[in-house]
Amino acid sequence: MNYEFHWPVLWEYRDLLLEGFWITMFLFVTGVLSSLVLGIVFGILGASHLRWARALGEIYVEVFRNTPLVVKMFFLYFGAGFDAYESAIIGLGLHQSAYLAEIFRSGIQAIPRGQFEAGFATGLTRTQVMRRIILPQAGFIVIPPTTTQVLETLKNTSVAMTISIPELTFQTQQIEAYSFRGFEAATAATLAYLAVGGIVGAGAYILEHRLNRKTKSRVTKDMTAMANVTAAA
Amino acid sequence: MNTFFKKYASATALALGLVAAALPSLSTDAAAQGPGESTLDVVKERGTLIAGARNDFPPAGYIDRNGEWVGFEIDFAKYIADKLGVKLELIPVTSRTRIPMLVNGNVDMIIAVMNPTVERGKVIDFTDPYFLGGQALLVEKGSGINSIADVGGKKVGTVQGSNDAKGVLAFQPDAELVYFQEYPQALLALKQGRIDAMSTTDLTLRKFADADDSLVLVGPPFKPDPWVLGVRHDDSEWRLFLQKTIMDAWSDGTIRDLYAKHMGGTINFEIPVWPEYYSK
Amino acid sequence: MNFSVITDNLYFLSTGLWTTVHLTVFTLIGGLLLGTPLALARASGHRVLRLPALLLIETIRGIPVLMLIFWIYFLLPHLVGAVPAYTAGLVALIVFNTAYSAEIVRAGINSIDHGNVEAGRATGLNLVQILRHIVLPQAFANMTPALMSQAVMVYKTTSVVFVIGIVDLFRAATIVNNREFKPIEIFAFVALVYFIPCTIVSRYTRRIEIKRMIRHGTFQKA
Repeated sequence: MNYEFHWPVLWEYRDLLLEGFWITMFLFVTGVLSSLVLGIVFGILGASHLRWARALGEIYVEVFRNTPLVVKMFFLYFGAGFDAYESAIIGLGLHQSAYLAEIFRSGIQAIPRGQFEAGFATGLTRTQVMRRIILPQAGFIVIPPTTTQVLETLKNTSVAMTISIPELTFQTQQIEAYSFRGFEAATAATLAYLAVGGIVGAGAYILEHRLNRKTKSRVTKDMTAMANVTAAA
Repeated sequence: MNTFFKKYASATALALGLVAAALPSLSTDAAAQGPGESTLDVVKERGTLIAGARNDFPPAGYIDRNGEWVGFEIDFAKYIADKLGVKLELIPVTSRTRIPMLVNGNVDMIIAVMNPTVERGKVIDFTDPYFLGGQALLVEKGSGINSIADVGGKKVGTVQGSNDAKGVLAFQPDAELVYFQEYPQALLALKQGRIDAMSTTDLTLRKFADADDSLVLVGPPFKPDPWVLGVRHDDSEWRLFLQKTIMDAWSDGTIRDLYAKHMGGTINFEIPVWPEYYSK
Repeated sequence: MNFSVITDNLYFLSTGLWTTVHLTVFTLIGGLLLGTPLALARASGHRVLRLPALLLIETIRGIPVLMLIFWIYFLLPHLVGAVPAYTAGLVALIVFNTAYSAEIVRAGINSIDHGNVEAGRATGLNLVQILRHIVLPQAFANMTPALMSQAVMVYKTTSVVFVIGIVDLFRAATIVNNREFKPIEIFAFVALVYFIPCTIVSRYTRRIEIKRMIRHGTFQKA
């Protein structure tokens, strides 16, 4: 490879890189929060015993999972009148929440129905069964696939560059345009993505193992596998 | 289960066949060039001129409803190919991709509304200008923006990798730049009110304004915008050929005709030519 | 709303769609062909094979596709000389898809009962024969739903290659819009062209999954 790396360029453009990094972090956090909220709501709807709620959950998942993120962001930004950051966050939220809703739905459905009945038999209401028995177990099953989606959200923040948001990937291209020194900037940005992803992944791992010790869940491997397969979608 | 595997194996074989069939289309566009070999010879030998042009930039280069390339630069590229007696192949480029594609040898030259800059000069060489545009602003009617001075604190859309951003900042350092990946997106943003103005070469902006009554071109241009052809470093023979072709096109009226055809009206400036061309 | 803008420009839009389609097909094939050996290395008992495979997969999965496209786009010419934008985009998509396919194949391999492998070994089959006749056929059958979901994912992901100037469906649409100024109609059409095939495939995938759950006895009617 006949490219001479010139690392001081990173210091020269540190302001751009840092600005990009913080914008990426901002989109990541807001994207994860909004998609978790929407994902839980539509996941519970999708697992409901009510026909209309289930249909609503399914339509939501299909519509937002089966269109590209960039098309959603373009629609929101150029068509629906949202500003760039609103479009990016709403776009990310809708996109990732469709995947999360599917994970949460199958997580809830993975709990054997006998547990519902056992709950009712002990005199608990449907909400109480949901809150005390089903959701804690489902929560445990869904941690690995949810982590995958959170990491997807981190990476998908880069799509916001197409609607003019100067996030990290954008800034590497800006530095390339200014100085034709794209490799140095791309290396720095790539390491930043990997580092943040690594920290998030490690956090999820610790959380899962803590819960594992606490819950001693009877949930079979098969069910976790099922939730995982759905998550890969 | 074994039948399933057989199906998979035959699918794989089919896939490999498809990939093999597609390989020629994946290989290098412009032929690899030995050191010291002129692109002029390479192009003549190949019988095809491979030009990097724009397909999103009316009236310089765009795609019509039949899917055909049309525009001022497209016709000029045809003129250059005719002078060489070769066929023309057009490869779409953007502000971001044109210089890497030239340097990497994907194209023989860039004809893509490009300005010369010192930074670009470190990577590629240029001809003299074949056309003089001017950088201007496009705004919504009644926006109150009447000159570049008025965009202080306003959002001005431009394209990442283009030189327009520096042009705007040189004349109005307080402008807030908003970068898009391509001109269509900057234009959309302007029409949707996401930005207050967009800035690039005036002819393109005039074309956009003509197509939409709600948009208006803010003139005259605040910065001259010379369009040059891009060639690789150390390719003097090729550059001289293109240089001569540009002056031929000015001398024989081609540029004037193409201007009338694509931009409409008469051209109101002259490009200084070299002494040999004075008599013509 | 006036959808004549779509019919007027149907030819150019269809050339964009064609690019999207073959990008998708080649990416899926390439990802599976490269992903399978990578998955075998990742699942292997040898540390020398497992650790580099793990590192490669996790690194690729940790990088945004856009970043990967820019990397390949600027890196490839330094390694192999001039390549068209299409090739760079395709290579980037294949690299991206290889890592995901490898994880799917690995999950498929892990889903096989180890007793089958032991049985194969007991009947005197060698490693290649065990892989060929026992492990891979079952693994591929098990991972069909995941692979179909991945196909949907790849089809949607091709929409970001426009950043390096490839005229796929999405960029063809923005070019048409540049001349016609009908963003709502044009992007609604584009969204549908992505949505319809993706939905058909994902509905079908869901049916396969439910059938399999019924077979395994893990399905419960909601």
